[in-house]
Amino acid sequence: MAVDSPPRPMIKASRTLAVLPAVIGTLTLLGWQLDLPLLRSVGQPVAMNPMTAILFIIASCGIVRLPIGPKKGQILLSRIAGISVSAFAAAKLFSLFGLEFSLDRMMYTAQLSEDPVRPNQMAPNTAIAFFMLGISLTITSFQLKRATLSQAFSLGSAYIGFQSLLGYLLGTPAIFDFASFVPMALNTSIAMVSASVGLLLADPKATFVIELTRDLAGGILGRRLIPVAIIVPIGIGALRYRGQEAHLYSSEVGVTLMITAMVLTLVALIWWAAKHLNRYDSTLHGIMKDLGNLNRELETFSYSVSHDLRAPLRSIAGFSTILLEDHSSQLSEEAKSHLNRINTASTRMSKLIDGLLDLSRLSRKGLQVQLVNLTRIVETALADLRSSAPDKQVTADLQSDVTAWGDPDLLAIVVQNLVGNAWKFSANKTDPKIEFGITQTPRGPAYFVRDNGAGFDMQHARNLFGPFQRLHTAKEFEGTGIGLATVQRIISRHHGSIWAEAEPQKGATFYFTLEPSKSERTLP
Amino acid sequence: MTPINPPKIILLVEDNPDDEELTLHALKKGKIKNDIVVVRDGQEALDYLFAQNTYADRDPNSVPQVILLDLKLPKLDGLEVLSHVRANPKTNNIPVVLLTSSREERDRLQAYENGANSFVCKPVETAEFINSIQQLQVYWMLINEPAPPRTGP
Repeated sequence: MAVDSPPRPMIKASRTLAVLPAVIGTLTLLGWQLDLPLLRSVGQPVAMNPMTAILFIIASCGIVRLPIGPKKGQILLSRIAGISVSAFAAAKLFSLFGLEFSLDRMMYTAQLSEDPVRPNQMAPNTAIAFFMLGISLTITSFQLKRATLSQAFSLGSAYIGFQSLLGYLLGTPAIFDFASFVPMALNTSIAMVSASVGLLLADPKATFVIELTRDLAGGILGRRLIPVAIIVPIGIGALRYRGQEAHLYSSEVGVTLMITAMVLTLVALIWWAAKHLNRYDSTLHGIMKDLGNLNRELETFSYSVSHDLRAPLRSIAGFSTILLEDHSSQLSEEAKSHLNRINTASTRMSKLIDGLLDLSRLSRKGLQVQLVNLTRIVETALADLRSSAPDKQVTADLQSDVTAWGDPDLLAIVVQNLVGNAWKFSANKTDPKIEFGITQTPRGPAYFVRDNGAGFDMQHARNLFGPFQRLHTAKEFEGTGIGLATVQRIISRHHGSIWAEAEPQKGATFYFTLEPSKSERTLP
Repeated sequence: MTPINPPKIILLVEDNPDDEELTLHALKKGKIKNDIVVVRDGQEALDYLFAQNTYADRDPNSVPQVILLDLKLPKLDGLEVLSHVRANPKTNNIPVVLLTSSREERDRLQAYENGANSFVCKPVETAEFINSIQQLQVYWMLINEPAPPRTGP
């Protein structure tokens, strides 16, 4: 699964959660502007500070404009938002130590001082939360490779908001009252949780979230358990608190009741998770067993192909040869020519069988990945071809010491096939030329083998890598049509790709990439 | 009493009549004249070697100089025949050449582990096939010295 593009529901959830704080902030500002206490404090004793509302609007814009998934964002806006939110929050924190900076005071002087004991200002925990949120947004928007830090900060601000929210839910003001300062308002805590989670979901590299979005057993289980992990303790805590308030039981009994309830819930959850994983695992084991059986069947199949298909061929070739050699006098020239054709055809079929067997064997062979000098393999392949046709003059233009990570035996098959093709298809040229090296392509750096031979029409290129696919008649160029299929199989086993560019009568270039994973490398 | 020089025999174990015919063709065209006994399955091969059942009249002390053994055989396959041959002190010194269509590594490994002396993949190309058979004939009949008979218990 690509980590760079979060799944669609995740993007949607992020946008929704990120917009909510802006809505809450705007309503709060309206409440201050029009002097409507319900809008700014939602029925609670503490109202959201105007500065807080402004920061929420800025943060919302920043998070919503983050480029995630297929949607394009305005990264500059996000960056400005991130920096300004953290800067304002930092300034607010400094002001707690005597440095005065209060935009809100300039705007709504009279209303803010309605409560003479504790004039409305941004709560210190709100400022800390904003600081964390701002830093997280900055890190994400600058695409710094600090995803873990960014997640830690947004989780931190979510935690601060959640703790306040919890206080409101349980009706225990002591939890969210921070020292002698104004506590965080209810709407502030909701907006803070919403903004933080929205930001968390917006980060495409947020492994914390990505793990939960996967369609694997862990992701599914996590998605089901996390809501339970949040709701159940709140419920149990609320029950305990309410019961104590109503003097149903003492504080000590409350604690034991809560612990018992938590233990029961946790055990039930773990049992449920175990059941879920067991079921998943047993399905997986079944599939693996089936796969093993299939593989064995395939092996038996290619085994019998190897043994049983060759035997009749040997008869065909053998008896036609015996006819030609021992009974030649009784045969007409035409009959001899027919027998020769039978011989040639059986030899060709034998090569086809060998090719198919090699192809199927490739899938079974384990990769032995090492650093391979491709140029040297090309040189060896060319030397073999030259010794088989000493009269042919072929110019070779090879980049020296081109290396690749891969299985040396398999890469040798790739090179032999590609160079062999280049040799074969440039045979009719007056000045055949074969090139090899590594080059920049639109798909990134790739190795290439180029010839100036017969080439082919690019319209037929998609047939190039299928088994038995040939672009030339056997009369023009002989071949089994298995070579490129084999090459492609090897390349895909190295997690690479292969493609070709060609023009009839001007030549062909085959490009390939090799990306065996580092874990597959065997140290020399 | 001097033992009479027994005739040099090649035992060919082959179930495919075409392959049998081709092998016999190659052997008869070869430089050496020798007797060839053909058996068509693994059980018949053991019957011949141990002079039992249909071969009960045969002199059990006359053993072939080489066994050309196919891998895939009816009743008992080549590897089983090989293990029986190796397990019996009367036959355990007879050279066994596996002559097969298979190129599978697995077959090769098992053949050698069961005590095969040679593993030859029958070429499809006729000229090559005839050449291989004739080379085998020259090597095992002429160049290779068989184990001497054991003297006394």
